[in-house]
Amino acid sequence: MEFVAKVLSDEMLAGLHAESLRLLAEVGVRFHGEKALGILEAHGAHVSREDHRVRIPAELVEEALRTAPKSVVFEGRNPSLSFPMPSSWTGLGMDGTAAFALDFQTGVRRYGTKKDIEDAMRIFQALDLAVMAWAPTCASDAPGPSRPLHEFLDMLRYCSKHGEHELHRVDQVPYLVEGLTAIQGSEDAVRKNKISSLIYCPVAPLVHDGQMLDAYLELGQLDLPVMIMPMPVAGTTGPASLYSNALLANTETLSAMVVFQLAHPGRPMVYSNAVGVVDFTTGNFLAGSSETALQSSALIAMGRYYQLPTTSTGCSCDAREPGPQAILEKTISALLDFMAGSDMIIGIGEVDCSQLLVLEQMVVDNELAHRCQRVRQGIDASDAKRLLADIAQVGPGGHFLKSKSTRQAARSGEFTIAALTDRHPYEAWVELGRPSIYSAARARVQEILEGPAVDPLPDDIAGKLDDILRRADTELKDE
Amino acid sequence: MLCLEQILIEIELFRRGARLHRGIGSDASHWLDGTIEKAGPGGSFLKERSTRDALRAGEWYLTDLGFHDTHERWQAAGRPTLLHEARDRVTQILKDHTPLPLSREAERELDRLEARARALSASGK
Repeated sequence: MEFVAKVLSDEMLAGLHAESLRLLAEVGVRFHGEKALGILEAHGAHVSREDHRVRIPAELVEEALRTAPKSVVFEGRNPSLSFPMPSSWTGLGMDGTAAFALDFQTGVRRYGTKKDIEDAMRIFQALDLAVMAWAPTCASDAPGPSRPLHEFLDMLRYCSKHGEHELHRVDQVPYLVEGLTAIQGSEDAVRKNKISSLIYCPVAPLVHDGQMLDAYLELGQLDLPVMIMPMPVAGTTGPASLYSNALLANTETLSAMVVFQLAHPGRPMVYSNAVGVVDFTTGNFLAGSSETALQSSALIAMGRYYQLPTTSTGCSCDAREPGPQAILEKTISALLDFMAGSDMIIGIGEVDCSQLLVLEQMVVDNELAHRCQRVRQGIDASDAKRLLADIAQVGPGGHFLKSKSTRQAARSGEFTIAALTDRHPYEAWVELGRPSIYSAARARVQEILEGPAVDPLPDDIAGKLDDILRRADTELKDE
Repeated sequence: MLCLEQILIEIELFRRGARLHRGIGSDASHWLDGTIEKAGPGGSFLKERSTRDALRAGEWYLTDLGFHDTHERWQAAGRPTLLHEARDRVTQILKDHTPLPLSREAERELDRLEARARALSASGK
């Protein structure tokens, strides 16, 4: 029986939905940009051109929920690595766009680079639970106006799993379309095989950024899926109640869904969240608190209530470096999301509130996720697991080590076998040089980086991407 | 193996777990739709009375273990780790803590029991 956490009752879920409808209709949402106001107005929403506020009738929301597909396959450039959602197990998504990276060779914290994206993607490729890449750090060595394109295309170049990233401006769109077409062969292939998607974050509370929204509406021509990830912080950009902050996040998600679905009905949407809370002692954002985990679980339940593909941000921490605090916080934030039934938890590989990429942490988080996955699987009480005859045969004072059922269980996956964590007796552990989970992860990272690249792009396609990026570097200007 | 620092780290873990177990409240005090309405698009919730009330009512678990401030302040503080913090705390407790005394009668009874046990042990019975 699967071990499931239920943080909101059915009545609470229905209440959140009803109240979101009321807020959308009565309070409204501010849409910046060129396209959204026209789309919404044409479909009967009440648009104020003065302050860009749009009040959205409930019918439009219900229609968006009806037209949004209830499943999506996040395909990989390597089709065998595709990830269909909803999923019976929880996959892992890379954490994205950290400002900094911890240099693997020197241990120095510095701004992220294109090489960091390459290295992280090669590690991501090798992690068995990892299903969705995200450019993990900023390519600070690329020009600002074309930087998201470098990040997007490098991510797809160095990892053949599904990749998700973001654009910030409308004028970046043609280069991305050209890049995706170069990789997949044609625009039709891009439309059909969804090897990439977009991450979209409304601006809390209740605002949509114009440039990003316009760019994503433009990319509707390719039917690229959009993962909607609201980020209100309870206590500052969100109300100081976990329930009401979840309400705000849900309202923002629904408002985004309405505009995307009105523009391109049937375009795949993924319900996600990256909510947080404020640290009242410092004013900082807290990613690894118990309250953050609770809200995330509530929103996973909400996504499932709508029967949408549902992901969440988890495995997050506030710790400034890898270590005990990072593992404590990441375990709490991941475990609850696993048990709430998230299709995918996004957040592996980074610490410091997702601002520092650490290659070893990617491997550690994969191990941590294995343990959480095992907890979610729960206890199998099928006939095969009812070992009454064995108990009777062994009898009082006996032992089960030599039983056939023990051997079978050891091979069945019922018992997790640790890949990184050390389970030797104390004396053996000392003899081995006192290995830690991080020293084992470091060795694994070294091994992957020294090994051959997996599923590399053919040289001619890689050359086309280089050309596209060179042109973008020259043609795109600072705004 | 007993590890004094680990006791404090696990207490922190249990406290965070206890916060999870309390779950999400949805009574009238948690229903801040009016506050959302008042803040509106682009507003802020930091100065709202409900924010102050929630802080005082225990909606947030405020930990004093682990470092939660900015990276720069963490650097300035000497890059403390959870283990160092726990070690400092243990040292402080061992230095300052005075156990709540037992009553004089209970102390006398314990002394009597100890004397009997020692006598029994010495007699080899």
